[in-house]
Parts: sequence; structure tokens; C-alpha cells
Amino acid sequence: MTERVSTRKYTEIIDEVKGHMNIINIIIFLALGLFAVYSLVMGIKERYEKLAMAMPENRFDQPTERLWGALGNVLGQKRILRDRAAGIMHVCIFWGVSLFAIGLILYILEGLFPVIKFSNPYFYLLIDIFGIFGFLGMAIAGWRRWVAKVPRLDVGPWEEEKMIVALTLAIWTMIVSYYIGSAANAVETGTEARYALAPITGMLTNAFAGMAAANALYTVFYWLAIIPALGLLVFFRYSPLVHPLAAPINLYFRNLQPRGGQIKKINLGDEEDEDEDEDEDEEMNFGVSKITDYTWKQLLDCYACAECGRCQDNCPAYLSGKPLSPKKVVLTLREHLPNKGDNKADLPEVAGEILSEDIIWACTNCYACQEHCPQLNEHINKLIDLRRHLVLDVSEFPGEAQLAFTNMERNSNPWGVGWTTRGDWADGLDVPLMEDNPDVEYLFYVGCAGSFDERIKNVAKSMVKILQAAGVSFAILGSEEKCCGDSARRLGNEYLFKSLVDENIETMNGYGVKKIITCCPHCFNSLKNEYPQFGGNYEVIHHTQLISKLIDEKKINLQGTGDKLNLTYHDSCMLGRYNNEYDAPRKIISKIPGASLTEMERNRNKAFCCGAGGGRMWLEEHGTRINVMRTEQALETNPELVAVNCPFCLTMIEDGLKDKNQEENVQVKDIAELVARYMQ
Amino acid sequence: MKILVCLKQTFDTEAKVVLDGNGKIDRKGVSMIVNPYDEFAVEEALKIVEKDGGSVTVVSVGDAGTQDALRQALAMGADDAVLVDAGDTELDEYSTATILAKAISGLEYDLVLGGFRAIDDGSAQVCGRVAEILNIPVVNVITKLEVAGGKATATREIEGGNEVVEVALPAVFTAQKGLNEPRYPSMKGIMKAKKKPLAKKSLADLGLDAIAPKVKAISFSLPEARQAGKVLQGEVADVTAELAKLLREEAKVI
Amino acid sequence: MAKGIWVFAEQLGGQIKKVSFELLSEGRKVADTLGEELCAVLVGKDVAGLAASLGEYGADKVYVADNAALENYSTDGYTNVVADLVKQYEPSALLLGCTVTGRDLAAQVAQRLESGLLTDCIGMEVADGQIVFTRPLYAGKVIVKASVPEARPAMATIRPNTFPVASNAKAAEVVTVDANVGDVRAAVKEVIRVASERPELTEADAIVSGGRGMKGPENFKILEELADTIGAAVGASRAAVDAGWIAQSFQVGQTGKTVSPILYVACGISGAIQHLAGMSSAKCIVAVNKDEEANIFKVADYGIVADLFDAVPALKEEIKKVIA
Repeated sequence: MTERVSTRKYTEIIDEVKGHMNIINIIIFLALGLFAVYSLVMGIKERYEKLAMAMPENRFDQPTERLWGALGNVLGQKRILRDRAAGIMHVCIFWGVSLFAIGLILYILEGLFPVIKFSNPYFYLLIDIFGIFGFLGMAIAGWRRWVAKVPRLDVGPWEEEKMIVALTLAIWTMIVSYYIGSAANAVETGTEARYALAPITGMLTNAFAGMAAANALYTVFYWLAIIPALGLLVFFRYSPLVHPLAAPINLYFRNLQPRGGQIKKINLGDEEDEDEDEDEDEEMNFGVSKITDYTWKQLLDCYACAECGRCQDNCPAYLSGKPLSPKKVVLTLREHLPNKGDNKADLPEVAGEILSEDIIWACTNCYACQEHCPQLNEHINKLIDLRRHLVLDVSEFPGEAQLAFTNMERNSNPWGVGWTTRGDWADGLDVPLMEDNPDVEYLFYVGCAGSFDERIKNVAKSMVKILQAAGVSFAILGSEEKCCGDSARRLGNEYLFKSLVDENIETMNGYGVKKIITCCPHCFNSLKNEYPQFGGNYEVIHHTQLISKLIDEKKINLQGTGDKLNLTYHDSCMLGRYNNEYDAPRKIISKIPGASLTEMERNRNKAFCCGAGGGRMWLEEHGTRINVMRTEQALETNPELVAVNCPFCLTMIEDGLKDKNQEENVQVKDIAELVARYMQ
Repeated sequence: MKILVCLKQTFDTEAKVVLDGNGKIDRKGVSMIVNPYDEFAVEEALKIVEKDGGSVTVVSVGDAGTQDALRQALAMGADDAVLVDAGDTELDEYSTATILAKAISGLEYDLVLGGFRAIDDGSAQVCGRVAEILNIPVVNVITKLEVAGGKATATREIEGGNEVVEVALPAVFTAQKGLNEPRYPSMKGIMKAKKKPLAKKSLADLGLDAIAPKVKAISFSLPEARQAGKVLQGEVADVTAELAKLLREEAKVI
Repeated sequence: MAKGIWVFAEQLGGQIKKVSFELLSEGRKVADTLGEELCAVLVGKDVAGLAASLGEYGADKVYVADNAALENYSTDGYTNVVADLVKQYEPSALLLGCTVTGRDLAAQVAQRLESGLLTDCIGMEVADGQIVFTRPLYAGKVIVKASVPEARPAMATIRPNTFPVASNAKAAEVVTVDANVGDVRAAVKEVIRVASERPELTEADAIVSGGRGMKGPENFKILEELADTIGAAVGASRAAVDAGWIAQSFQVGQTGKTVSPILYVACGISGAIQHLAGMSSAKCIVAVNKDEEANIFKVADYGIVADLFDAVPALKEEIKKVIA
């Protein structure tokens, strides 16, 4: 009797305690949860405030387009999967952890409110599997970072490494605690059946069967799952590693301009505002001086960066030992993001004080970093904005650039050859001038290299031969043509760029030009994607695209010489990554009788820059030369000839061959020269 | 320190020079630049002022188009400019120097700088003449200049070397290549230049009557079109002997 | 009535410059045509002994201004002395060599006498009783013939090597004049002779450059020897600099130094536009290259198709002969 009473009392006490416990649990959870949510909200707010200190930028247009693209990359993990190993790891973590979180939430709620009962074994099977994926994903990530030591993942200071360790341990703890806690709870409450299909929880349930301390075990692991889960929310406030939060937002606000037209036009003050003349003098900045001169989106990039290092792995400047790493640029900027209340005047100069000028001038604008950035971050514009500051605001830049600028100003070409001789290359070729034949179908925009460089004149002449053979109606501008301005713009001299663009547009519009052929992908890109910003709208076609079309239309015929020709093809950045034209040149090569194309390891969107883009053509390069590296890559294919589509690439690879003493054995030819050779 | 810089607008070095119907040099369609030696002078003036304070005034004799050259100097950082429009006056070095000196004598100055020559007529005498008229010393072809305590120390090129000279100010100095690397105007500079004072004066404003030049150009001609280079082939002994003779007697470069 | 064709006899360290003899030689013809006397003006310290040598080239008279204060050239000192002389004797023309000194002095004297001065002339003839000078404008793109019709003396500086030296021995009358040096406002603190060193690349009148054809750093010695023979600076193309054969400070081209010497000798340089952009304004371009297709021949005034290792040393010897 006594025993029975006491037994009953004991269970009642337990129930009572359990009842109280639930309330206590809820209170503790609420306290922790509120703190966590508060931290998260504050974290977001603080970061929002930092970004709000930056300049405005309209990234709110085309919401549908933005949403679908973002979803494709967030849910579909499209870009990240370009690198298989790392991509699978990321899919495991992203999908594993986020779907596992559903099970975890249920697990937490069930602990607080035992009335919740959800017993579908398939559900628990899935949650188990997601947990495994999440766990393994983190394990692969850890293995890549700490065992395989993939170089691009290097984060530098130990401070940040510690956070990554903490993050990894938190996620592991959360997942493992779920398994153990769930199993212990099932044993305690006799709900083993729900885990019948779940491999890990099920196995643990069997192992714990009949265990006396199951309840205690549950309690411990219940909280061990909750604390890291809520801890993650707190973590986001105090750690710079906010990629999971910022990434989807950053993808939504990505740049929707064509790649070749992403450099922003700036108001150079010719649209004069008479009234605010006086006091703005000292404030006048055309480039980025302080970090808050960047736009909020440019700074959001820094938060979205997951430090995966794909940019760096594809950066010719980095790979040739220059001080530039696109990843480091983003991370360094993140370290220097402003704090609320900072006085702009007290902030350091970005160019020089945060990023050295060597870094800023090293970029070849090859777009490889952006091509491979899973976040669609915009590294190039960040550097161009700094170049603009150095050129337009403070006039401190390499002397070679000054020479190129002065030459472009005075003679409309970077070498400074007299502008009156621009059309002389065509003497005796029966090439009409626009001046005499404004009704032609195409303007053949020759470009500076084709006009002045003896070597490249041969490309222009080959193109004339092709156009004449195919009966294309065209004319050139002769001495009325000016440099397209690509180099000036990419070296930061927007003022010079604009003056060249304005003059060219005035001339071309004056003749009613509609269609333009270019022999240079830099001219091509600028005319096609940048001139519209200034009122020049033309249908621009790169010569390889036109030649491909002419071959298709049987307007030109290629005949074999009977000889075999082993060649490789080098994608220029401007035609390839910027304008997504990889096929036309390859198609032409495939039509050349006897030609056999061996691709370089880095080809198409992974092609390695020749080193001349971004205005680097006009700057001296010290240390390992990018063009020599690219030439070495070409030589690995044992070619007799390297085919190119760009005058800069042609020059750079020819120089590279000379450097390797291979100029006698290997030729470099523009596609137009090749076609002209086989055209009879 | 008040510094005056004499500046000339010249044809671009790459300009194609042709003669018009009257046998005179045709200026149509030619890109005009600041005489590069005068750019050295502007840069040097700016450097001195940046270091010791003061102002830089650029002075030129020319026509309305010369404003572009003066604006460039203002964009580089000069404070103000004076343009004397000589109208129809025929300019030689004597008349140019007379006008410049007259314009300068109405201004305050401690130092007058200019290029040692202009790349168009290459006469290398206008600044020297200005000094003579102003009755102040001139130091030509300088590659280094230091100003302190009312004196200037300059390094100038002489036959077979350099000499360092010291002279009391005010004085005229003419710049040689090597003096400095002229800056590229920043956008800020270009914008500010639009608002800087540029005084336009006529000869009458300066109190000058028409000035007769001392030199008379009789005729202009274009040199024979540059022949295709002479490429010599044959025995090394023969071709080198021939080349040495050509360089001496035909090209007159050794 | 102004009379006399005067030549400023420039001397440095007791040696009369060759250009002064050239001017006397040609001045003799002008003086004879105009029926005037030919005089030399000799200014310096202890220079009287040099007067006789001026007679050998045709001077009728030599005005000697000898003064310790005139030992070294000074703009003020020389201007004062020469201008005083001219004022006193009123010659109809004063010719100077277009040298650093000649150029400096001519401008000051011309202004003090309020006369016209034609600089850097490459020809001189007599027409209608006037001396007509020929001079290049725009770096030689235009040639102008000009005179100083009224003001006297008509002044000109004439490029060295324009006229041949012609011996025309006369027993020149030596007139020793008082030299009133006056106030020399620019004090020479130091003279730095750099005769033995090669000139600075961007300022040199002549440059000898090597490219990939040099094959190695040790071979630049033959360029240096040629350079020293003609007082030239040594330069290089980017290819030679890249190969590590010579320091980057010697690089001529778009991304190196821009030069515009009177003479540019390109040895083993193919002539890529990057190089041409830095030197194509040279007045006379000489190319030595074994590849006759090389681009450099398209811009060269003179070319030798030959192995530079044979041609450059041979050229040096031949040049020594002709300038001896």
C-alpha cells in the first residue's frame, strides 16, 4: 500500500516535474531563441547600415528576371557546380543542412510541446539522409581546407580560421546531437517505429534499447542540438562569414547588363549644373576614393563572398605572381567596411592605403574571376573605379599610361602615330572610304592596331581580301576613324574614353552607319556594348562571326594546300568570356582543309588571358609574363600555328614565342589571315 | 613666389605639315598641343609653388585657339592665364618677345620660366630675348632648379657637361627635357580650369602699336618626300664603308 | 653703312670649334659676293694666340677680346663684350655655330641689338644683296628660306657640319679690343664634365640600340664601342630587356623611353610597333639586321642586311675613318 502510494506519488512527481520542466524548457528556449533572433536581426541591421553608407545604385529593375536567375543559382546551385568536387560539397551542405533544418525544427518543437507527434517514417528517413549530407559536406569542406589544403581556400589570419573551425564543429554537433537525442527520446517514449527506415537514428535507437539513462541522454543532446543551431544565428552577428545570408540577396541584385557593358558611365560634369558650382570643388570625385564611394552592391559582394577562391584560381595576374588576387581584394575591402558614425573624411583611401596601387594596375580585365565566381561578384568594376580615382581625381598612375593617353588624345591611337596616316594601310587595295561611299552595308572599323601596326595591317588586309572576294559592300573611315577608347576606359580615363566615343559616334552617325565589322574584339566589345551608353547604336559583328557566316553562305571557299596543319586556338577574353563567342572561330577552323585543332587545357570560358587586356597592353609588366605563360600553354599542344582573333593576343603570343625561342617553329595567325591563305 | 610661364601652342609632333595655296604652312586640321618644353616649365613652376607657395600665371601670344593650350596649363594647376591676341601682327621672335615682355612687365613676378625651344620653329631665343628686354638674367637649358631665399640654383647643360649656376631673382629659366615629368591633368583640374581667370588682351590693351618683325620668310618648301630607305647589300666591308660615307656626307649626322 | 661679315669664333679650353672654321670658310664666299670683309670675333682668356688660325680659313680681321673674366662662357659676360663690339663696328652680319654656347649668346646679342636672328640654319646664300638662310621647321617637315632684310647685323646660328672647311690662308689683321665684361649675374658654382660618360638616353643626339639579335648581354660591348665612337647613348628594345641582357632603364619604346635623336642605329631590332613608337621621330634611322624582311627596314633611312656581329664593328672602323 505504502509502496503503491509512494510509487504513484513518484510517477506523479515525475509527471509534475516533467510538466514544470516543459515550462522551464520553453522559458529557457525562448530566452535563448529571442537572444539568437535579436542577434541575427541586429547583425542584419548593422550590416545594412554599413551598406547604407555606400553610394546608391539601381538594382531594383526586372524583378522577375532577377528572381528566376537568383533561384536558379540558389536552389539549382548552377554556377557552383561548374567545379564538380567543390560543387558537390556545396550542394551537400546547402541542401543537406537546410532540409535537415526542417527535421531539427520539428525535433525542437516536439521537445517543447510533446503534443506534437509526427511519425511518418519516410520523413525521418529523409531527415536522416539530409543530416548525413550536411555532415559529410562539412567533412569534405574540412578535408579540402585542412587535409588537402586546397591553396585557393587559404583565408590568411588564424582569427578567421578559428571561426571556420567553430562553424564546422557547430554544424556537426547540431547534426550528431539530433541523431543521438532523437534515438534516446524514441527509446524513452516508445516511438521507435518512426525511425524504422532512418539509417542512423534507427541504428542508434536499437543500440539504446532498454537504456535506463535514455531520458537524461535525450535532455543533454536536445540542448546540444539547440545551442549550436541558435548559436549560428548569433554567429552571424559577430563573424564576417555571412555568406549563407548574403548570398541569395547578392544573387538577386546581380548585374544584368551584358558583360561587355558593365562599366558604369559617369557624369563628367559636362551636363553642367550652374547652381552648385562653388562648394563642390573639393568634394569632386569621379572614382572611388573612400570605401563609401563604392555602391552598396559593390560592398554587398564582400559579404556574399564565400572565399572559395575560384576567382584567384583563374586570375592571370595572381597566377603569374602579381600582387593581385581578386579574392583578397574582396576580403580586404570587407575588413575595411565602414562603421556606423564613421566620418568619411577619416576613412583611409582605398587606393594606396587599403589596396596597393600595384594591385589596382595588375588587372587585365579578363573577366575570368567574374566568370567563375559563384556569387556573380563584380571584381573588375571595383578596380576600374579605383583606377578612375587615380587617373581622374588625383592623376597618379604609371608613366606608360600617360604616354598612351597623350597619344590617344593627340593622334587618336595609343602609339601616337600621326592620325592623318590612319588609312594609309589600305593604299592600293581599292578600299572605299565612307566619305565617298556612305551607302555601303558595312563600316569596316579597322582599329588602331590594324591601321598602324605593320604586323596587324596584314590582318586588316586579309580581311579586305575576304570581304572583296565575298562581295561584301563595305567602306572604311580612313583618317576619320579614332581609337575606340577601350584601353582608355579600362585604364580609368573615362574622360578620354568619352571624348573618343563622342567623336566616333558623331562621325558614324553622320554617315548613317548601321552595321559595323571589327577585326579587334576590343573595338567589337566597346562599339557593341559600351557605345549604346553614349547614343551609338549599331549592329556590330566580329570578323570571325562574319567570316563564319560567309563560309556558311558559300560566299567564300576554302581550299586545301594538301598539307596538314596542326593548330591550337586561343580565345580572346573580349570575344569569349565577354561576348560568349567561342564557336564561330572554331567552326571556321573546322572548315579549313587539313587543319586539326588541338585545344589547350585552358580553353573557352577557362581560357587564359594573353596579358594585354584592361589597358595592360600599354603598361610594362614585371616578373613572370602572362603572355609567356599563355604561350607555354599553347606550346603544350605542339602546334605549328596558334590561331587568334585579336591583335593584342597576336602580339602578345608572338612575343611569347620569341621569348621561348620558338618563333621559327610556331606561327601566330589571326583567323582572317588563315582564311585568306586558304581562299583561292 | 610669383611665377610666370611663357607658353606656346605648337603643332603636334606627329602632325602632317602641308602648304596652302599661298605657299604658307597650312594650319587646318592640325592637332595643336602645348609645346612640350613649355610643359616642363609649367610643371616646374607648379612644383615650386606646391613646395613654397605662391602662384603660377601662364602667358601666351597667339590667337583664340591658343586658349586650349592655356586651359591645359590651368588644368595642370596654374592659377591664371594671360592671352595676348596679336591679331594680324606678323610674329617673329623679336615681336613675340616684345609682346611677351610687355605683358609680363605689367605683372608681378619673381621667376619667369619657359621651354628652351619650341618644337615648331625651334628657334630657342624668345625667352632669352624676354630676359634681355626685362633686363633680368637668363639661364638656358636647365635640367634642375632649386629656389630659396631670393636666389635660384640651376643646373644647365653646357658643351660637354653641366654647370651649376646661382642667380638672384627675378630671372628667366628655360627648361630642357629631363627637368621633370609633366603631370597629366586630373578631371578635377580640367573642371577647375574652366573657371580659372583667363585674361584676353590685345596689343592696344598692352599699349603696343604694331610691331614690325625683324625676320622675313621668303619661301616655304616641303623637303623631298622621304625616299624609301637605302638598304645596302653586299660585302660587309663595302656596305659599312658606304654607310659611313652616307651618314657623313648625305645625312650629315656624324 | 654697316659693313663686315662677322663670325663668332667659339673656343673651349683654348681650342677653336670646328664649326667656326666652317663658318669662316663659307663666310668668305658670302663676304666676297657682297664685297665686304670677313671678320672673326674671338673672346676668352689667353686666346690671342688662336687668332692666326682663324686667318687660315679666310678671316681678314680678328677682333680679340681677351680677359681673365672671360675664361669660361657666361651669358652676361659674353653678351656684353660681343654686343659692345658689334655696336662699335656695326657689321652687316653675325654668324655663330648652332652650339649650346652659340645659341645662348645669339639670342641675347640679337635682342640687345634689336635685330633678327635665324637659328639652326642649314644653308646660306646671297640673293639680291641679302644673305638668305635656309632652316628647317617642324623637325624638318618644312624648309624655310628667310632673311633679316633691314635690321643689322643679320644674325644666324648655323648647324655644325653644314659647310665644308676650306683653307684660304690670309694673314688676318688682329685687332685687340677692350673687353668690358660688365656684371655677370649668374655665378657658376660648379662645372660637371661628363665627357667620358655616355649621354643620357632621352637627351642623346645619337643612340645605338640592340635587340634580340644581340643574342646575349656580353655582345652589347660592340654596341658600346660604336656608341663611344660617335658619342652616342646605348639603348635596347624590349626583347633585349626582357631577356635580361640589359637594364630596363635602357629600354626604348612605348613602355620604355621615348627618344628623338638625330641618329638612331638599330642593331638586331625587328621593328615591332612597340619599339617604333619610342624612336620613329629620330631624324635618321639606321638598321642593321640579317633579316631583310624585318619591319625596321620600312622606317630606316639606311639599312644594312648583314650579321650585326660583323657589320657593327666594321661600321665603327669606317666611321672612325670618315670623322678623323
